[in-house]
Amino acid sequence: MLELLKIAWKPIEKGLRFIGKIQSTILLSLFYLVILMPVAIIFKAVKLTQPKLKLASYWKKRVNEIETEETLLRQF
Amino acid sequence: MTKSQIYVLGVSCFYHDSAAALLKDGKIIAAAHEERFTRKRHDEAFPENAVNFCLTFAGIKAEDLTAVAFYDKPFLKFERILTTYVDTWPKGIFSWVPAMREWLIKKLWIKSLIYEKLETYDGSIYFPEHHIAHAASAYLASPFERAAILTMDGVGEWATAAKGLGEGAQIKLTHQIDFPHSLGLLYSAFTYYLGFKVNSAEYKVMGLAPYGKPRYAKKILDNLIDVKTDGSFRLNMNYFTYHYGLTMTGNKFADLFGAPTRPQGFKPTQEEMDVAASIQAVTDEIMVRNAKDLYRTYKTPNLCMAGGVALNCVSNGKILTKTPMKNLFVQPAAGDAGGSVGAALYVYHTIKNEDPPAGRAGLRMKNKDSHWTWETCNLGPEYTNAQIHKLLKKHKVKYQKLTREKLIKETVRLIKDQKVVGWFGGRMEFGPRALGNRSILADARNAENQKRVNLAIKFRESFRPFAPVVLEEKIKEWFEADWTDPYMLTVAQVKKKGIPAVTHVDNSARFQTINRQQNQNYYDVVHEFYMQTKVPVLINTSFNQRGEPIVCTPEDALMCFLRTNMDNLVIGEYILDKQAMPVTLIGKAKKMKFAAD
Repeated sequence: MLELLKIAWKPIEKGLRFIGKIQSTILLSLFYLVILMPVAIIFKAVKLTQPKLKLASYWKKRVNEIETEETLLRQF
Repeated sequence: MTKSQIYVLGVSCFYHDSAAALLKDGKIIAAAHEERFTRKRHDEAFPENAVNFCLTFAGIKAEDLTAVAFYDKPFLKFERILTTYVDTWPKGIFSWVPAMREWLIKKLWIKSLIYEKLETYDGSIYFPEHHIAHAASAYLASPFERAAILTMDGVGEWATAAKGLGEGAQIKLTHQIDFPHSLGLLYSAFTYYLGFKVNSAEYKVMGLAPYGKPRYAKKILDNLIDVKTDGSFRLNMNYFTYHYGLTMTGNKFADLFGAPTRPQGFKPTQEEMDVAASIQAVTDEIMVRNAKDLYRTYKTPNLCMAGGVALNCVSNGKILTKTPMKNLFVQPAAGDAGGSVGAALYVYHTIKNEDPPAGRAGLRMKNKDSHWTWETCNLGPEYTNAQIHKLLKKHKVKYQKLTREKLIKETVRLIKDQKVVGWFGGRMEFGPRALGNRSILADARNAENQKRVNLAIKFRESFRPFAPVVLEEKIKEWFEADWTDPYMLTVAQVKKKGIPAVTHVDNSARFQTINRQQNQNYYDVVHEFYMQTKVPVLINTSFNQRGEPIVCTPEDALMCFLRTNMDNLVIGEYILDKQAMPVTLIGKAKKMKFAAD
């Protein structure tokens, strides 16, 4: 019985993974289309209001905080 | 292990070229790319094998590690990705699902994953910024006490380039350029457009460039990129798709150059060569302007560079010849793999090196006792003659065992007889170049060897140039270079005729200098060749075939030797002749296939 289950597990796992892929594709697509859309519209509207500056350099100043153990532990 | 020993493990992974590096009391003692163990080129998986190698080499267990450093801040990177999807909505629909799946399943859980893989380790995991890791990998391993720093790559978290100053043990990056504006990605976009693999074959574009004329450079500067006098730049994103899509460039880009994106494997014509020459010229110009600006700002002739763009040896050569920067240190594994070294060094110098000697102007100086200056790339695994002998016996392979002196003389004899020789010994190199421990050697005087090694041994494109290894003391005599380069990171003009196999069409060569301290056996081969021929130069190319990572173990070397048309293999103290190899074993070796790069 155990042997039979072991043999059957591979195709079952493959099938479950396939179903999981379809589910995640649907959910992520819905998120992209429904949740991200209003955010994107607002983001783009705000971006349009930003004045277009003529810059002498495209180098942007970095905000350098003093590096400590605490800052290095952060993943952000 | 004594209590005072500090071990920091650096890890880079999940994008391309994953790697691990181990720092012991401030010195890198072991480092390796994961691809060398898994035999999957540019492997991006967690570097389990490389980590195991590092720990085994040091004779420690994960629980003995003082700290672990990862080479970027994953949440910041995720923020950039989300913001980009919002900014480019709805164009990102097709790449959104695979990207998010990858992030939600794996990349957001790096901390847990590291703890899971390192089982017994319960210390802290540190996350320096990506470009800080690059900067540290160059500056903190450099011989300088003060140097300008420039890092450029595809993208880290937000930054695609950063610059600043290293002084004492401190790194201060003052400026950065943010995604999507990226010189690395611009170069990759052209790599894609010309039919080569992105994040893999950028060096082919660099090799193709000398065949062409930069007649599109103006078009690139007028339409694709705005470059300021200080070397900063901004891309015209209307031409690119990499920030939201599954490709790098769109139809508008193709229209600009009047031809569609080339399919992979496309044989380059003069048109492609001209496009390659043009993007190379633009890259050179940007790098030169940046180096000049850094010199103006910091008044130092010392420059440290890292990031994938720093592997562009043509630009590096231009920096040395066209700017006041006289001392250039490029971290030999300048790409993401080297981020593991940088992360470990940065964490060590920032956190663990708590009591360094006081230096000038109150700065923490690099700790003289423990400060490690990069002196070798030979940081990978090494195999004993006994292990090699066991392998040869196992496969019932005929071999000759020679003393060191005889082995060197025999190798030179074979090279002089126009044989192509695999050369395996010592610790595997860290970084993309084979520098004399996992190399293929041939006679540079014979122009035919360029074609032969390209087509019959490496099975790669015929236009690809080969790099020379030259005796350090002969560099000025043979090349227009007043610097040494043991890591093959710069290009210079060839002065003398007589080495056509390593002289590119524009009379340039990406040379490697060698002295006896760096690698005794390797030096002695080149020196003996010089004594017999008066030419101190050989072809040195990496020991692998197209699509295959550089060989790691004696087994990898033997199989690669059997699979290709190499004539002889020098492996440890043994020498093998292809003619005497068993046919069945050759057949077995030839069954191994690698995806084209």
